Amino acid sequence: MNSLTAIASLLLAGILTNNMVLAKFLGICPFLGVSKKVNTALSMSIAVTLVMVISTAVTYPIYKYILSPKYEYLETVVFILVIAAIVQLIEIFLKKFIKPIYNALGIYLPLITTNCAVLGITMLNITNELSYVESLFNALAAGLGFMLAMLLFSGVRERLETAEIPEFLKGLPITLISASLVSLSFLGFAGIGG
Amino acid sequence: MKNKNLGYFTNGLINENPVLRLVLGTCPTLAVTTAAINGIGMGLAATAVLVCSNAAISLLRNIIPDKVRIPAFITIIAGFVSVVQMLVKAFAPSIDKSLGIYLPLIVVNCIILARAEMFASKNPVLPSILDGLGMGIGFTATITLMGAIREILGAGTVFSLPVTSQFISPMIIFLLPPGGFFIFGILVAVSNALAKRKGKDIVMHLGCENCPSRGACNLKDTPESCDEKIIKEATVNE
Amino acid sequence: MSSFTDFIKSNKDSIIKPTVVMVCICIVVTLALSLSNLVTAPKIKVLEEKTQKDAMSRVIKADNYKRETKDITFDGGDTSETVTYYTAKNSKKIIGYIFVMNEKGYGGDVSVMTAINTDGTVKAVDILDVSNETPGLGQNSKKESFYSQYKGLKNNISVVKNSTDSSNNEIQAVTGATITSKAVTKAVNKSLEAFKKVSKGGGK
Repeated sequence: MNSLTAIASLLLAGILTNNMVLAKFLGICPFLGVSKKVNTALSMSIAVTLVMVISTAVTYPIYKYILSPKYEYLETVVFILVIAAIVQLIEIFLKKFIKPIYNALGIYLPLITTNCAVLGITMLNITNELSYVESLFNALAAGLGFMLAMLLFSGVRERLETAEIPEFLKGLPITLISASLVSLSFLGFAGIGG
Repeated sequence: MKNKNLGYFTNGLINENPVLRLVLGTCPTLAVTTAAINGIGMGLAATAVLVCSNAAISLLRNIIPDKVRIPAFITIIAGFVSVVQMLVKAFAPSIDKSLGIYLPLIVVNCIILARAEMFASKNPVLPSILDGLGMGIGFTATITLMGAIREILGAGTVFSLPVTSQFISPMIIFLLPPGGFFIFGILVAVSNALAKRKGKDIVMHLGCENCPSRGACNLKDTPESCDEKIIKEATVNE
Repeated sequence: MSSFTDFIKSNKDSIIKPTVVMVCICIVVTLALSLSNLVTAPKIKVLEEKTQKDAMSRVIKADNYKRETKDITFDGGDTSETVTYYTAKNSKKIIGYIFVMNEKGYGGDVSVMTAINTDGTVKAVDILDVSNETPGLGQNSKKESFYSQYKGLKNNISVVKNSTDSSNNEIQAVTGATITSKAVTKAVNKSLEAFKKVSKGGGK
């Protein structure tokens, strides 16, 4: 029972209060770069969620059973290489065996290696001393939180396309200021599940 | 020759300022700029990594096969980041605490991989070091400025010294995430306005031409945003 | 066998060379890292011990601090936790206990050091780490005006907002940071509970 509530609060925190993008500022590049259309934003976030969960599943045991406690200083190097390899493997696997999914997500995968949200979540799981199951749910929550932020923001941006914008704010500035407003709305969740 | 070298250095300061012109490294720019001192800490750490990795990659540029270019770069960068992380832990623990997870995340700071890919892998050592130094200082200066603005508006202090906190009640919102996005937006708007006056292009989107993952994407060089390319590719695939 | 050598020969540039280069880079990087770890690790350890000691002498001044551990089952918890604490001694006499507790705050764990007098009242509280909390809000808990409120309190301290009388066992929350204040208070309460179980010697 206790662990169920723990997982529920992890999910709530990851999706709403501690949102990867809007509260922790991880994964800003895809958030600003691949959010012009709702469709592509959705595919991108599905790919990110997938990679986050699989990376956590692999890096966690590596840290616990190989790196800890003597080689903890190799964490950064090992994690980023493992993530890069996982992304490659997922891409090859999908290309070979599940063609439709590859067609939908394939182009997003290479963008994910250097996505700080993925490396960030694997490291946060370690620093927050979560258990294996908690880490997996935390990664899932982070992915879903990323998805929620991407979807909301791409909706806003589709509207922006047709809006009249003051000359000096055109382009990136208005994108950032709308992101500011979206993240303002997420402040309202503060305290849930705390 | 001397002038040319100087050009490599000054390039990153204004014309190709990594934060405001190339729009790279947005994550740390937004995350750690709640105080000016954090900006300096993050900036210097990133500069150290940038200079070292640029030098190393430039030295190895003819040895590393094209095929494993990106993983090789990432490994080298991660190595330098870990060393910097240990040094910061040993000599400046307070900075380690305030930067937290963003310190190891310098690995995925796009500025570093982007400069490795765009510059160091194609140029000799000295220009690469100068390029790294210029970019690093440009990055440091910009995020310190942003940290100072957010600190003065949000806490009424600069470098923890009280400035306006005595007579104006600080607006805490500027220290929170929305304030980060907002101030960054305004800074880009100002830099766009200055660029326009000088007859340069304004920054419309996250430039794909600077995106470090571009090599992996196999997307051709065109002045479109990542968005447009991906939307195009996605429709072709469908 | 010959097909294998043929395979290697024909793929010399596309497989062998990249692999060799990557392996070499990895080895060099790992060596460099273990070397710098060798240099910095002792320094980091000394520094951590010093910070810990400084914090301890801030909350309670004593000649020496003895590190001890005990398994404690907290009220409302199902399993026992191993709690590390320090006894502060002047010559041979115990003058107080020091606990360090981590509690979930707004953005992550907050780390709080609590010194408790032998009579069970809080001697002093020191906020060790609130770097995950919001700057300007939760991080204000580092101010003395907040944490000095705990001094002299006992048992089940509660958090109040904007109350005029801060009489029995209440502390005033940091403005706009109730969650952080509650986390700190929880850590202090937990230390008080642990103190009772430690000082009575009745573990369970």
